[in-house]
Amino acid sequence: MGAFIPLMIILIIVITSYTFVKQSNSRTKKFIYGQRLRWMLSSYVIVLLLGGVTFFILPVQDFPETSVVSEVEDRVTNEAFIDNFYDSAFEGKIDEVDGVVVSKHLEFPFEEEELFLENVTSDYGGIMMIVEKKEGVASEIIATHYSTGLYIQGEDFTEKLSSTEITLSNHTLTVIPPEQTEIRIADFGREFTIAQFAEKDGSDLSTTASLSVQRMGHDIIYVIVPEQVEVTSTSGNIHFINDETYVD
Amino acid sequence: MYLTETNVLETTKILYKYKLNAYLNALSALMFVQILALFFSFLGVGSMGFGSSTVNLQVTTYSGSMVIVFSLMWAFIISITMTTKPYRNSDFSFVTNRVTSHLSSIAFLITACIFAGVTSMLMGLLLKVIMYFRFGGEIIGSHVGVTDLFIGISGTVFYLILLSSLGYFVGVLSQLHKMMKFILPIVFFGLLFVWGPNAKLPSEIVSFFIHESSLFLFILKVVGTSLLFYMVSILISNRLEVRQ
Repeated sequence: MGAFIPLMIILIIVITSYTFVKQSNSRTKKFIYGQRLRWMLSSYVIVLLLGGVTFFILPVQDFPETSVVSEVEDRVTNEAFIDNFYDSAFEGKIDEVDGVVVSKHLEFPFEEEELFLENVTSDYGGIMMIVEKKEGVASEIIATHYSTGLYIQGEDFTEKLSSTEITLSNHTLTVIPPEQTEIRIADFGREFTIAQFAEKDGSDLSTTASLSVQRMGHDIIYVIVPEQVEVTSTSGNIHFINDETYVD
Repeated sequence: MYLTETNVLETTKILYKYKLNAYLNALSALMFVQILALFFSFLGVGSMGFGSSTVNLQVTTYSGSMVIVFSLMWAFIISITMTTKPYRNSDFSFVTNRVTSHLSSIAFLITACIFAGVTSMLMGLLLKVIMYFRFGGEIIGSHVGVTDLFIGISGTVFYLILLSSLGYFVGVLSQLHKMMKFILPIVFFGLLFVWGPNAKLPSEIVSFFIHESSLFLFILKVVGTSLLFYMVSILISNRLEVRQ
């Protein structure tokens, strides 16, 4: 069926063009001819001109050039950045990584001696948790959701991403990963008669968008607990920094 | 000699003005075709999907390229129609000959191509404005500047003139003999079939135009080719008898 669509389109154009032109040659039929036709064409041109003027007054910042890939995007879609994101997290220095996004930051008062961690796995996979027992932290659990953000062609879509749900009740810190976020965006391509003669774009959208998404789904829930608290869990994907008292 | 040339020019001018008024419906056909293309363009000219554990990204590309392609088809068909018998005969209401008839038709077609080129590009902008509000500003891609717009209009107009001259040539050829209306499509599709999808000659002809990155050279190529098509059309047509 799909193969017939181009043929149908050509047929429609042929019939339309031929029918309209044939009518202008007919002396008996005066369908959309004369003054009415001039009025119609004038209205058409006015609508198109208004469209053109509106286009040029649209805010350009919402509308970045394809070739403009922001410095932040360039950095966070770099493989070395992703490696550094995880390495720094395991060294307890994730907050020092330049370009990392804090999606959520929660501080729970906690007076208990034992903490149970529950890392829920959704249909789309789980989320990595890193737990640090820190000196000087007393009577509170600090949970922070770090991510690498989503940048495509210079545009920041990080705010569109759903954040993880983190709750604390009855000694249990529960991490529920976000639902998969649906993002629909329009890419304004250049017409082929511009692309042929104008300077070439610096980057290919399909490559950069693909890279952005592949290198974007990086999230870590970083949990800081008081040094004296005993942490237990039966969930997977939980890592500890310098904790020998962890009970799996 | 001088008087004859003046008459040719004046007659062409009168016929051109007549055709601008009489064949205005060609432009309404263009309008219909461009609106049709706009609706098809709402579906996008391309789309990509990417997914990870936390995001599913759908990118749809919108551009006025489909409007331009539809307009190119319009230019080709309109040019063929201009060479048909009713059109040729309507010129004989005036004191004219084949050359002035052709010259005025070509002038009309070039005017229509300029109109079509400008409206095609404006339609592309209108499409983007509609999509801008539909997507609430969630847009990536190229912002067409004024310079780009003029480049686009020039490129489109000359592509239209190229297709129009080809259509005119095909139209004149098909007037040579009644059988030509059947022979030409058979020859065209037959050659496509014989050459196959990887044929060198047709791809080199297309490449001659579409891979030209200099607008100036592209215009030169189109002007040269179109002149050739129009001149051959006039020469062939002169061999036909009056009011055949």
